[in-house]
Amino acid sequence: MPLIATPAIVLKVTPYSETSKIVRLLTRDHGLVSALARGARRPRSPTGAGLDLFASGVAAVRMKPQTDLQNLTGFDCTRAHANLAGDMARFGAAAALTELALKCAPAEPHPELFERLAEGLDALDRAGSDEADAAALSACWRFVGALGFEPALDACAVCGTPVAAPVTFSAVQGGALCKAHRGDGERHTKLGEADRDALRALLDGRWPDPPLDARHAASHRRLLMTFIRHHVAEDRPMPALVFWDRESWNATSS
Amino acid sequence: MSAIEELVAEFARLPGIGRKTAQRLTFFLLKQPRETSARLARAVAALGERVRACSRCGNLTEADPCAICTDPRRDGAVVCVVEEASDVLAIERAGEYRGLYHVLGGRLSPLDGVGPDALNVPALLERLGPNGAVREVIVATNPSVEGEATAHYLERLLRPAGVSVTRLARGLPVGGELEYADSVTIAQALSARREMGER
Ligand SMILES: [Zn+2]
Ligand SMILES: [Zn+2]
Repeated sequence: MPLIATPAIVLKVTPYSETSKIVRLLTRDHGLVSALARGARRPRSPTGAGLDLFASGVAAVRMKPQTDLQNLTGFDCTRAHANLAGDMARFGAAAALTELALKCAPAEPHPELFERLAEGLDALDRAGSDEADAAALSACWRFVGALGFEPALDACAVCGTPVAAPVTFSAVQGGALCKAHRGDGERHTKLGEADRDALRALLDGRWPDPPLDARHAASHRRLLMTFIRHHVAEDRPMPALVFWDRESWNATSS
Repeated sequence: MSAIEELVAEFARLPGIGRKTAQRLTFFLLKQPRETSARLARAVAALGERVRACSRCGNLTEADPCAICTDPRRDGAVVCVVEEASDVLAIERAGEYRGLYHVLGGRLSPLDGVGPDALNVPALLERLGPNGAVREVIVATNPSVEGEATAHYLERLLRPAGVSVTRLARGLPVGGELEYADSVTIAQALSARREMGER
């Protein structure tokens, strides 16, 4: 049974028996991995130290062919991302991003997705309170983009005809729409020049200028969520996404 | 489904018990005198009938309110908030704490769909109401990301009630659980607790 070491991010921790934990990891080299961390619930366990939600580090895993549950023999935590627990909007956003990885990432290795998740959690952990919304939106959009669902902003999502601002954006159809494909516009969003620039900045991993105020951040969140529901999550329940969207935290976090 | 299959299936639902262990337990019981399984069945039934959550603090109890809530020697001005009833046992084992408890019944866990509505929070706010004698709330959720997030959530919520909100000192391992910490560590974390919101 080969022992591998790979950069990994903890997506989920479930207690298993009195002393062990089962973890779901997104690893750079081996994709999504479920592993049993024996003894990790013991207070002085070397494997258990730092093995917590959102943590990134290097996982040592003993891989068995033809099983779904591997053995985690070590986890060297390099970033605990402790600030992600500091306020509810940030915590909810980190959970929503993690949920995307947990439920929508392919099982096979996908180094770009791994980098996007790692960067996203780092940026959200580091962001000042005035940047947290942008960091959260950008992290999720970029992860969605790496999954292969980047929204069309400059050309019609259906036919590819270039479109100028203000654009009619359909989260359901995957982006901007030309006149011909706009239809009667069930639940389309109008994106002015500034809104489209802000969305482009988020997709590029930059913070919009001018910065998003609470109202715009909420509109962007809605757009992202509708987009995720239709293109990425499909019928899968996404409880963390719902948690993040609670008005109460987002209203008080700005 | 046969009686054997039924019991195996029930055992296999328990945490940490796989299908093989469930079968072993079932066949063990089959080899024992009938009275052994009858006693087990009675104990399991009594659990459901007699044990409930204390209406004040949420701790598991047979008498309502629980023995801790009704103990006149305990300090009603201090309430220690924990995730689970098993955490009450861990802190009681440390033997240092003389205040009351409040059991949340979990922690905020967005990925499992556990939001604030799923926690025993309204009863906590009620205990801090205008006529409340509570002066300090010690937030003793686990030192994990979800436990910390729950602590921050509670701090925001409780601060306006005019009580002091404190958090157990670091020293418990990160990602760890109160339930598994030793008594000395718990006692130290309690006595070195700090006001939340001060860095
Ligand atoms: Zn078109
Ligand atoms: Zn009680």
